[in-house]
Amino acid sequence: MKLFDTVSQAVSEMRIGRRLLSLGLVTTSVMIAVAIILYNMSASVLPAFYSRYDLVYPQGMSVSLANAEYEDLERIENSGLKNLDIMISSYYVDGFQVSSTKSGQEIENCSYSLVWCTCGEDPGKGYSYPEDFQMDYTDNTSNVAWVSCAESKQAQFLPGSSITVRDSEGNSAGVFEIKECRVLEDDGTDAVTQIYLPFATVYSALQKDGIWLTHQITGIVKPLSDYPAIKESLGKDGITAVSDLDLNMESLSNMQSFFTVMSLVITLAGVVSLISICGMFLKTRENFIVLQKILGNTNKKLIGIYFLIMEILLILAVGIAAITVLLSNHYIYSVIYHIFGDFQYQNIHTLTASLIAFGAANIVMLISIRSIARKIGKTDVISAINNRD
Amino acid sequence: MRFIDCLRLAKRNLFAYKRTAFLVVLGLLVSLVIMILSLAYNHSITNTMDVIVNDKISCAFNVITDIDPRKDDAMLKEIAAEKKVDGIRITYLCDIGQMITSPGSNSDTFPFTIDDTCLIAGGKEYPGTNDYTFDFPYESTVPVSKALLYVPFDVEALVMPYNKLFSDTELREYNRKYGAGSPLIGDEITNEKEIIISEYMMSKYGFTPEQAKEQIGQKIAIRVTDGKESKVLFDGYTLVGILKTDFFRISSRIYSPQFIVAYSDALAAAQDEKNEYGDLFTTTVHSSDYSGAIRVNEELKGYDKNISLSSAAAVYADIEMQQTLYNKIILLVAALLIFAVIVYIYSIQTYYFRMRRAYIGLERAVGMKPGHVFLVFFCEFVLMSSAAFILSLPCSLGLIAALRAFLTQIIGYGISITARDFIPAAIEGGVFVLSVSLLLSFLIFRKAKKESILDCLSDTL
Repeated sequence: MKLFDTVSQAVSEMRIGRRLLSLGLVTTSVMIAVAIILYNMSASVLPAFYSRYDLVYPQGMSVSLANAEYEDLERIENSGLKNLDIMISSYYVDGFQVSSTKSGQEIENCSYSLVWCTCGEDPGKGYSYPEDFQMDYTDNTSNVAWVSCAESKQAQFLPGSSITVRDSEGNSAGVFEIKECRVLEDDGTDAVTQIYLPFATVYSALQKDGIWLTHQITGIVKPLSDYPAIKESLGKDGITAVSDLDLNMESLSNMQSFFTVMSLVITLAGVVSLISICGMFLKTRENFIVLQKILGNTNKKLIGIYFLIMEILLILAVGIAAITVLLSNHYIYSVIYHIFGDFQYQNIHTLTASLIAFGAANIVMLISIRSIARKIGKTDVISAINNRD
Repeated sequence: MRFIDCLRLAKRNLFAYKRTAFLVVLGLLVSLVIMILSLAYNHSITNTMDVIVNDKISCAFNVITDIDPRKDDAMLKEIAAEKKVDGIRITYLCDIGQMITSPGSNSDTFPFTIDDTCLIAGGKEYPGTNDYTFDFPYESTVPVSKALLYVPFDVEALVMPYNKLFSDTELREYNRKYGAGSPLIGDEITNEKEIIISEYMMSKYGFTPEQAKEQIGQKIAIRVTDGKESKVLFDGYTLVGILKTDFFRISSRIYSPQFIVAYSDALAAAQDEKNEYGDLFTTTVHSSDYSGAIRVNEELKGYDKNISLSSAAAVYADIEMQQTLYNKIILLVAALLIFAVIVYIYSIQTYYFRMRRAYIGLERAVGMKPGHVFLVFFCEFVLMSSAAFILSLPCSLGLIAALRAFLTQIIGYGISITARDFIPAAIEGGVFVLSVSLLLSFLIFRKAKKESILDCLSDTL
């Protein structure tokens, strides 16, 4: 009976203040709808674009790492980056000289790649670079070299012969035995000779002379949707991952932050607007409150009536907002389809978002209930008659 | 009753009804904070995306390497008429080696550097200086070996009538990065025997920018030597313009030759049309944006020619699509938000009028003119709106700081809002909320005027 009485009084109060309350309801529901749309964009739609890159770049993408040291390789592998490759900076190329160990004659027109031979997942199988060379993981610390050159140069790199590699200062990078020499297809131009040397051997040989080889570590990220997580994980170790997709990711994450921020702000604003309108309504109902008090109703009951009104309004607001969002989703889907074409998006979780908005709004309401209680408690006949403000 | 009296009365009324006024100011403050925050974040993200998309906008082009403008003129006209094609530029790379040697043979020197040349102007020869400062292909300072920074001597010829010196997108990127204005001092190439040289290259011959400008309109020539042979090329060409150095720092031009001449049959006769590096004509098909360039690429595939899309275009087209998505979603959000704010302000004002109804009735009863009553009511709103606006600035800034800290803590990054984003947002948000507020106050009062004095006073009586 008591509950029924409270509900019926709340409903009758809502009927009296319907104009002001309905304006508040419209405001709040539209604001919550906006908050849900923004939340959906941030939590469901935008993450789908990361996975879209898996379809656009099925072979993954090359990522180069800045501030990555040779000693960081294990950590880099653990981050999820695959097919790691390490080579000296191309700018250092001119600083090397290669000569035949036997004759001491300098071999010219070479391009040098220092290769770190490994495979992230199965070191036993080895990572081949270039694809034709079957290098073994242990080759990384060996004294063997692979060569690709034009037919005319092949005689200088006979398998089993050795070459000496020095830097421009004459510091020895090691003596290497030619393991394999591949002749490049003759396309009429003078093919550039390339010598592939194991990185670890050269790195430690030069290190003995106090030379720290500047090098570039690269890897493949596949699937591409893993890239943000890998980038973040490497970032924690002070390593910056750089790829062609960075700007796309930056743009996406900017949008995601924007939608998250605005969703938060607008949810709060919606609830604040509802509370302020309820506050205004309360102010216009001072006479009724006084009358109820004279008739013997307790403050508790009056607080219950107004809390119920706010709660009903909130439920209605979230309901209207959910319907508005469902209607808006047609537009959002059509925009996405028009721009990006057809592919599988995650469902937009309107119901989840509505429940989150409802929960957040209720938390704010519970905080505000104290001020309503104080207001009702302070209202008496004298204050109602004296104060027209 | 003067305006100042109305203002004074309005101020007194606000103090008399301070609680009601406080609620109205609070409501307006909430509206203002939402508007300012939304606009500031929107400005920030729009500016950021705009910077990203337009950073290399000059690369919104396709390149065709096997079109001969003398044979494929009809095809070129057809391509130029394509919907997303903004302009076509055809260049011809001069083979300096062939130009200085006798027909059939070729020079051993490759590539030619500036110190292989002398600029002949006014009967004087100015030798070129290879000072290893040619860092145009590098976007940032890199520890590059000096050998890679030689100053190349490359010349390209513009083919008429596709001889537009730069595209609109190139100009856009240039203006964005290096300020407004044309990168060209002087005129474009319109006739045979005309040449344009960059300010940078002129400086390598010892000309200051002012001295280079003075050479515009003068006849010049370039002597090139390969150690064995020496020949004067481009003899009698008129220097019609100087291109600013920074123009060659925009993304589409970092590898471009900085000597540009008019293509002529005589020039072509001095070298074979094809050499071992392939065809010498390059057709650049510019589009106004990346998605346009991609669409053009699809359409050009039908011509069975060697077509390639600029490498930046694929990556940037995706960002462009993200930007379009953002703009369209924001349009929906903005429409809903503006509606909500207007309804909210209307409800606040309805409440305020309701609370002030009896007092307004009293003012009318003592014989105040309706115009004066409205002016007082209007002034009250001006004062409350102004107070709300002043308060909204620190509140928005505080909220932005709090949100940034929160986001950095939770998701690792936050959007930075600069004064450039905040000031216009504050102005736009302020103007919107204040004008809506004042307009609605006028509408509410107009409606209330129809009520009788007795109706207004009924609450008091």
